[in-house]
Amino acid sequence: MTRILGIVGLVSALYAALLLTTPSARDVGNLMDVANLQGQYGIITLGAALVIIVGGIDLSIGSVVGCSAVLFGVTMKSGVHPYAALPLVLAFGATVGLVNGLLITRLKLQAFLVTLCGMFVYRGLARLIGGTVSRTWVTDPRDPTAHPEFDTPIRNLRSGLVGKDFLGELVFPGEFVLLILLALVLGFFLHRTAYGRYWYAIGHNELAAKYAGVNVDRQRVIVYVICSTLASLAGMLLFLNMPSIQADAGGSSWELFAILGAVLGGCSLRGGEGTAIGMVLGAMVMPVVDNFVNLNGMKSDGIPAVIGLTLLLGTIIDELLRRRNAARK
Amino acid sequence: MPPPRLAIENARKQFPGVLALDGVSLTLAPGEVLAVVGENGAGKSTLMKIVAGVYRRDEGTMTLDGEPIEFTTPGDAIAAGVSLIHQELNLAENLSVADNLFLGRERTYGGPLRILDKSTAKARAAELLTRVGLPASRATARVGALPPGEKQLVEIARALGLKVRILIMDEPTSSLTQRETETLYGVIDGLKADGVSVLYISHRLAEVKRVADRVVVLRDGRNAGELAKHEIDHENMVRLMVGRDLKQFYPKDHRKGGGEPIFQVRDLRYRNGPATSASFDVRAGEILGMAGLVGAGRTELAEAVFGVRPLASGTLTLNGQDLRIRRPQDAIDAGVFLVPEDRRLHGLVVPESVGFNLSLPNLDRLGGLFGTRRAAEAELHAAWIDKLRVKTPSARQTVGLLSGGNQQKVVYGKWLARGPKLLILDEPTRGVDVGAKAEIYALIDELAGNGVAVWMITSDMEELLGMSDRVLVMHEGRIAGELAKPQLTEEAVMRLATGGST
Amino acid sequence: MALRLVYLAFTCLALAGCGGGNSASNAPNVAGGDRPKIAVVTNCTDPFWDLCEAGANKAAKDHNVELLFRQPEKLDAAIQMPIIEAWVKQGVNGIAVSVIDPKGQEEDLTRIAKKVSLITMDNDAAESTGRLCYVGVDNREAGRAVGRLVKKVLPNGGTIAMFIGNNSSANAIDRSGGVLDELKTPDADGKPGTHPTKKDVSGKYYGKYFLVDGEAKTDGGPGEKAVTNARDVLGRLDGVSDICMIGLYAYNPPAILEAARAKSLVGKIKIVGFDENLETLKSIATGEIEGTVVQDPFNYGYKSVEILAAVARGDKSKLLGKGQTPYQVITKDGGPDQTINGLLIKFPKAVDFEKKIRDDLASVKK
Repeated sequence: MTRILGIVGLVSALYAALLLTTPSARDVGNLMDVANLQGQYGIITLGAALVIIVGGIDLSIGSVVGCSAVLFGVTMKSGVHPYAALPLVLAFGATVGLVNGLLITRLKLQAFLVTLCGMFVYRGLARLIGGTVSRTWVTDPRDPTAHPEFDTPIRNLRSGLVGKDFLGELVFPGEFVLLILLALVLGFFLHRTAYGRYWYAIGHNELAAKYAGVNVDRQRVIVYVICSTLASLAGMLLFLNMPSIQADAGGSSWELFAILGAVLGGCSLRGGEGTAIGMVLGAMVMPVVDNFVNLNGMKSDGIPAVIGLTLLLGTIIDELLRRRNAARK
Repeated sequence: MPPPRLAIENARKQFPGVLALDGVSLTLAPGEVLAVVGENGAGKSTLMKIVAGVYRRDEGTMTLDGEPIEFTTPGDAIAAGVSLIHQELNLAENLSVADNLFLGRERTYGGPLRILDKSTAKARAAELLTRVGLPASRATARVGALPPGEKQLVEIARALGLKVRILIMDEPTSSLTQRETETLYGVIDGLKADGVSVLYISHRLAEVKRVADRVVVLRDGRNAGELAKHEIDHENMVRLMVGRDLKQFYPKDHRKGGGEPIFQVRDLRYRNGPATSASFDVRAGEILGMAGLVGAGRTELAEAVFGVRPLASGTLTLNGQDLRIRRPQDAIDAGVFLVPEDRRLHGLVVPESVGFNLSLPNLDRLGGLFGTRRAAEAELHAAWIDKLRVKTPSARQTVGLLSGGNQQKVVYGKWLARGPKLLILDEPTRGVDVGAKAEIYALIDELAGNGVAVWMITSDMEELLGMSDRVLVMHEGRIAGELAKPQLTEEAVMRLATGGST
Repeated sequence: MALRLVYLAFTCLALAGCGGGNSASNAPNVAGGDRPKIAVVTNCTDPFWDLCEAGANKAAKDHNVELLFRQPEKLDAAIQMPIIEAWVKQGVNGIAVSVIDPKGQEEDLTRIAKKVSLITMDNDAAESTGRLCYVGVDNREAGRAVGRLVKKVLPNGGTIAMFIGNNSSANAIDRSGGVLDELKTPDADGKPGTHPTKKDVSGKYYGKYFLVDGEAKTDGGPGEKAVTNARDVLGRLDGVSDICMIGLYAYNPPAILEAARAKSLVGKIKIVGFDENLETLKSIATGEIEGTVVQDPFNYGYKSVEILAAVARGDKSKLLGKGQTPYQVITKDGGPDQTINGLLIKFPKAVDFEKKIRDDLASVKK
């Protein structure tokens, strides 16, 4: 519980700082943009956090996001209806997770290594199957190989999942709503079912779980499948939300945002700790800092350092206060 | 006549470089408590792990109630009613006691969703905890917050919750207090009455005598003999285990005793420690024993002297000189060494070699201009492996693959090579077999005789009474009293340890 | 717990205080005398854009404008778009964008052009987006200027190789297309074939010129690959005379030069470049590189802010028509101004131009 209080404090403080110092941030449209960005990072944070809970790591998330976005575009361009392409790409994500999971559990390879290789492989795959993809590229009426008839279904998907109206104006933070729904489902499994117990037990003490008769390998594989499937969902949302996706840049280094969100939200990299609500809150941090930096027109060169320092400072204070609480007990 | 509960014929198991089991056979009747004893490395743990599905045997047959069995995972064994309470604690410390009790076989509803049925679990947990003598309220506690003894009881309770035919207990009492051990005996009697068979592994021979119906002795991966109920005694077991008589189990050849105080502790308090301060002496030529229940603060006191816990007040004097210890390095520089309770956690770098571990604290002396001097290092390894009779193929062997007794010898070796002035031993023979125990006792006796101050913390009553010249008993963070012969008896120690007076 | 929240809030506020230099004002439209708020977003972070930023800063001072300038971390529309959205919501009077993917970004830019004054620079979007104008050279024309440089250094024909970041973005297609347009006139399209002396090297003939591999070699952006690409080509052309290496993105000419140095071919091969990388300019002055065609990003920044400031004050006279931004051609010795295709083109000396750039950069502190 103390771990949650820390992140609640951090998120509230960041929002307070943003809203008090930057009047233009109070605009509802702006806050919805921030929420949607939180949803975007939050979805992959859930997956990354789950993998971290079972004591693993997934560095291929960003590449899977990029590859799924490109694959989504390429599949539709080749004539597959958007509503069919969506489950197809999810299946691709699940397969990636299955491969990661099997390599880690069956061949006993280190998760760090397997997913690091995956990071290169899926980025490379994205570049092989397509360069730059966009909705216009799929549906452009001026292009004879395109499918203008897909324009409406794609826009429908965008309205439902991202929350943008027909013209691309954000009317409700769909990705954030999606994040909450997914977090509820994940939270249910994590905190209320036997699966969650297994994940926590495996992360903390794999042998204990094994000797208790838990099929540790299968649970590990399941978790990697969930993580990669969520990443491919995030990739499709990116495609729907963004004007265009570059195969070499889409989603790149997102795995780090996801891991950061998970750790800020109370997942220990040693495994066995973390809550669904914490993951959501952890993912909310970065977009707020980002928005603050955008709105205040900071110098481009200083931005990464400002973001990094804010997060570091938050982490240090959180840790110090937690240690003090622990000492007082 | 019904078939035996368990029959093992000619089991063999080969590990890389070690033949762990070389044709072991045993039978176990329903409702029987069979003790399996032997030195560490004799193959007991391997045999138990084969029965529990952790390892697979290379050869041999195994039947359970007449049915041939072939377990590939611990899950298979549990499903067949064979449950192992492991020597090294196997609990998920981040989960609650109740979660651990039912891990892997949760009561759930909702079909494939497997939603946890928390109310049933709570009631069932209360019942199991009561059976092992723990309060029902422990069900919601985080396992990580429990003292080691209670963790062990939770493991036992977990096994009780299974529909077991065979329960395997591997050193179940190593972290239990006397009273908890008594509770365990009661539990075992109950299981017997229910027809559950128990395979019981212990180094504490008195304990074996108390619980076992029959004893099977293993030596070097083979059957070394069997003792019926009436034959079970200390002499017989030791003879079969080591293949010879042990003249002196607790030697006192070198100590003269009663010399001047060489290590003095005055008014010692450490940060976040108890309010009362501790003062005591260790004299030349004696072994100072320290007794107390788990959690009485003995280990903490040792850690404070060793510099792990920051001191709040007090003075330490060694051989007439003031000791200023702020961190373990200061203690090591002064010749104060700690052989820790958990050697795998604090005593050894388990995945590294014997040589690596022996060299580790001595690198400053082995260092030359161009890194470590190989010849000197090899000499040090050979000397201590030989002197302590560490059973290892070479100094390059991974230390984690040695038996417990040999691992412990490596821990001694790395400190002895530096020439100790004060040696703090925390549970010096925990998980160590009889043969190695005797060797370690002889070593400690020799060290004490040669003027090293020896301060031995132990929960093993036989060891305490057998080895100590004087005993301090701790209770709730303070030194409750001092005992020397002839007042030094088990009853007197227990009275002080539980808060009574001398 | 309360204490903990106070701590966190305090530090965050402190941080906000340090960072928030210019406080935001919510004024979408300005009257004549007020300071309009103008935003410029580039496509990525690059020294090229530092020059643009310097120009924008100067214009902001000259025309009394509050300027937001941002170089996104990566060449990625998905990173650029949220920045634009946030600024538009915040209420700027005008925004200048270096478009990354004209097709993909078309819809969003159309929506944004309805809310604020939008101009494109460096890379254009479709006119149908409603952008007011485009500040930037015509890449095909600039490519032709590179082609003319090649003709000058290899008047009797020879072997050429082109190096570029990618072959898919609009400026890349136009730039390399322009070079080949110039070389093939008056001859027909590129003819596939093998090198006259190196039979294992295939490519295409453009008039008297043989293009190695028949298209520009891509490297995906600044980095090691740009150097290895050049080195590989030089290795394959070992012993061939009359080679001209053409670097079409800003980092390519220095990368080619480095490869040539490694093979001790400096001076033996000709190098022609694009953009005003300081290394390129220095090497032109020493004669190691023949020449480069520059876009003058300082002017991009200056013009964009100037135009948007005027529009914000109700003056639309400064808007540029198509192809009204001239490129310049830099050589060691320079030359007189010429009018080419209706544009007045300058031919400054490398040393003079390098000095101008350094002055530009120094004129406004970063």
